Amino acid sequence: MLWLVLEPMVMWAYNSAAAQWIRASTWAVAILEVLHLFGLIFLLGSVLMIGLRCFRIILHRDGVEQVVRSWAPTMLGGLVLMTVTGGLIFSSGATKYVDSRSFQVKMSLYFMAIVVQGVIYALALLKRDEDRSLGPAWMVIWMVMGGLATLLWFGVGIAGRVIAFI
Amino acid sequence: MSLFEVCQWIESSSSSSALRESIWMFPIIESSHVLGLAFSVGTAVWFDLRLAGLWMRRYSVSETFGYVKPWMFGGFAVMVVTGLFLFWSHALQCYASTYFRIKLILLLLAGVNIAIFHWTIDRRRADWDKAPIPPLQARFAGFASLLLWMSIVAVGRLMAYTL
Repeated sequence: MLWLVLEPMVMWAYNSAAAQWIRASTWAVAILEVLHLFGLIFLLGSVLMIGLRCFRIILHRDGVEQVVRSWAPTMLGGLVLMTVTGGLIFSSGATKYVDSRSFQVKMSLYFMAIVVQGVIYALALLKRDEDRSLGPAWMVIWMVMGGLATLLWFGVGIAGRVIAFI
Repeated sequence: MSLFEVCQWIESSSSSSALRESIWMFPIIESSHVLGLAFSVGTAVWFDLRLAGLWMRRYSVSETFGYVKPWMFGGFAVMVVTGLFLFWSHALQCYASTYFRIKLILLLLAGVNIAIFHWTIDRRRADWDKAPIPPLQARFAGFASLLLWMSIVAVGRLMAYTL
């Protein structure tokens, strides 16, 4: 069922001009992979800082919501770079990647991570006017969400590397 | 025994073959290497950007370093150990790889940059610790570190692509 929906998109990506150019180029995939890794570093670096603050390990002077907002530009920048380069790498071998179990796991984790990160950002905006006198319930919420986001994004990184092997 | 012969001996060892031929070990080591990279470079960038005067200006340089230090060094340790395993499994290919040589030179330069920073401007850190924009030499060290680590990552990825 899902394949019926995805197949036209996968075939369109595979046959696109960008994908054909990438396949024909010797270095395009290598350069895209480097940029993909840069995006991943900024994304995971930002997620880690937010996650550690959620667990009250670092940046104690700022509230979680402030840390989330401060690291939003680098996190979003890393995410956009990773998504754009990832999309181009995918298009170059779409028919192969779509059958890869590791790729399917990576994409499932990726979409879950985006949802969790979106919830974290929404919570941070919601608590904009709050100071650090958050109740214990909020502390638990931040820990659960921060921990979940960190696990999911690092899972994306690991699954991405495993695509080359499994 | 030349360096080439050492690499030849490593690659022909049973432990090297076992690593290369293992279905699970190589992907686990590779993934751990990327994980170590995310922890080390992913946190080092914030300290480098703080030194450059571009990030976390409300926090002192010492505070920033204190926050990222365990993750940066922990990630670096994982990266070194897993990197040694990766080298062990493909010693001859690494020996012949220009990218591998460039990566080693860049790692050396990153170490020299840290040493120069530590032995010069960092000794007077108390004078500029809380300054939102650190002195020129500290900013230069931050930018240089950022550039070197990003280059190490890029060369490492290109090396893996060409092996």
